[in-house]
Amino acid sequence: MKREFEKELQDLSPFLADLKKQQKDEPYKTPRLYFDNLADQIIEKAKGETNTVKVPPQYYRTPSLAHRINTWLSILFKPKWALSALAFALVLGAGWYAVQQQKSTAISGVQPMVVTHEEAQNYVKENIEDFKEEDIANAFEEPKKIEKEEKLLDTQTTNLLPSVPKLEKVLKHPQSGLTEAEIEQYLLENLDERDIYALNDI
Amino acid sequence: MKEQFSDEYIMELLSTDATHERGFRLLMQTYQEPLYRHVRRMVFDHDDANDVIQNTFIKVFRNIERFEGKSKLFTWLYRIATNEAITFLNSRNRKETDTIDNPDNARIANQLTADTFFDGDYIQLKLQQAIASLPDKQRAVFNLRYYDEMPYEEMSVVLETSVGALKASYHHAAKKVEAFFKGIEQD
Repeated sequence: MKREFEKELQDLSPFLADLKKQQKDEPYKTPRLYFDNLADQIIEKAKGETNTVKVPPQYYRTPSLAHRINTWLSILFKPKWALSALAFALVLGAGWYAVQQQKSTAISGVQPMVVTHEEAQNYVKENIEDFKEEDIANAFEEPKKIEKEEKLLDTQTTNLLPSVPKLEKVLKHPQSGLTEAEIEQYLLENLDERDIYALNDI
Repeated sequence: MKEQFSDEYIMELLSTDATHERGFRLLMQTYQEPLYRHVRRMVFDHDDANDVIQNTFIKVFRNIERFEGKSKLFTWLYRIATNEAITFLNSRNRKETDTIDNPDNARIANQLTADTFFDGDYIQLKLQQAIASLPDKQRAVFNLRYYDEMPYEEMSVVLETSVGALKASYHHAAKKVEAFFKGIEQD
């Protein structure tokens, strides 16, 4: 085999064949005791790296709901997350406060001034030349219109009331199978809602 | 003189947990020096060679059960080491942006001149410079044949290349190295 190799190189490149015969020493050196310690280093490293990828026995189990909640809470209450959450809450709170302030300002801007009837009369008397005759006539008719609207509202609200005994009667029917206490509870809970919706419609 | 152990004995030790570490130490004792030299001739620098050789043996430590015994243990180890060296060189080539202005052979000459772990004369320095000018895989072919005198059949397993292609590659590499020296003489 050695001869075969030497012949090949001699045929291929006599120059390299001669060079190889002359250069017997290995030019590459290593630090002292390098090979004495290499096995220890590699075994330590291989074992260390193997250990770092080991996982606990429960790693591949599906975690329970309680465990997941616990994990999320522990993540949430880590300092950096807690600070982020706090900052977010502050920004949200500040935004909400600003919107509320804006609303109240807007509302107060259009809110009518509370003026007594007497004050209004005095004002009209003092500035009678600023008002048209038509406006003064309408002003006398306005209280009557308001009175009419109030009466209509009262009638509609009162119309709701008779429906309560009717409902109670239906519920108390022997075939309903409901006890007195259950009916009372039902009426208490549902009539409130019914009234609110009815009033909203009005 | 270090005691030599057969591949069969080393593999037997490696096959059981109780003797695994001892088997691995014997494997390293037997093959670490030729493997290191092979890697060093590929990457030139000791620190780089150390990184590559450590990665190689860590892979061997973890995957020894994958060695099926179809080739010699030595051949299998060379294959892993060569692949690691080529992967390292590819990675280094990608990181370096100055390869056009400062090709491998010129950079290697400067590097080896300053290297305290290189003890070669002028001819050896120029030979390494010529080898550095070869593409990575052709460099592996040249080194395995020229320095390690590895039969083409074994090289075929190490480099996963046909014997015919390896012969052609070695011949071509030898001509390039010779031409590099002739170029120096002409200068």
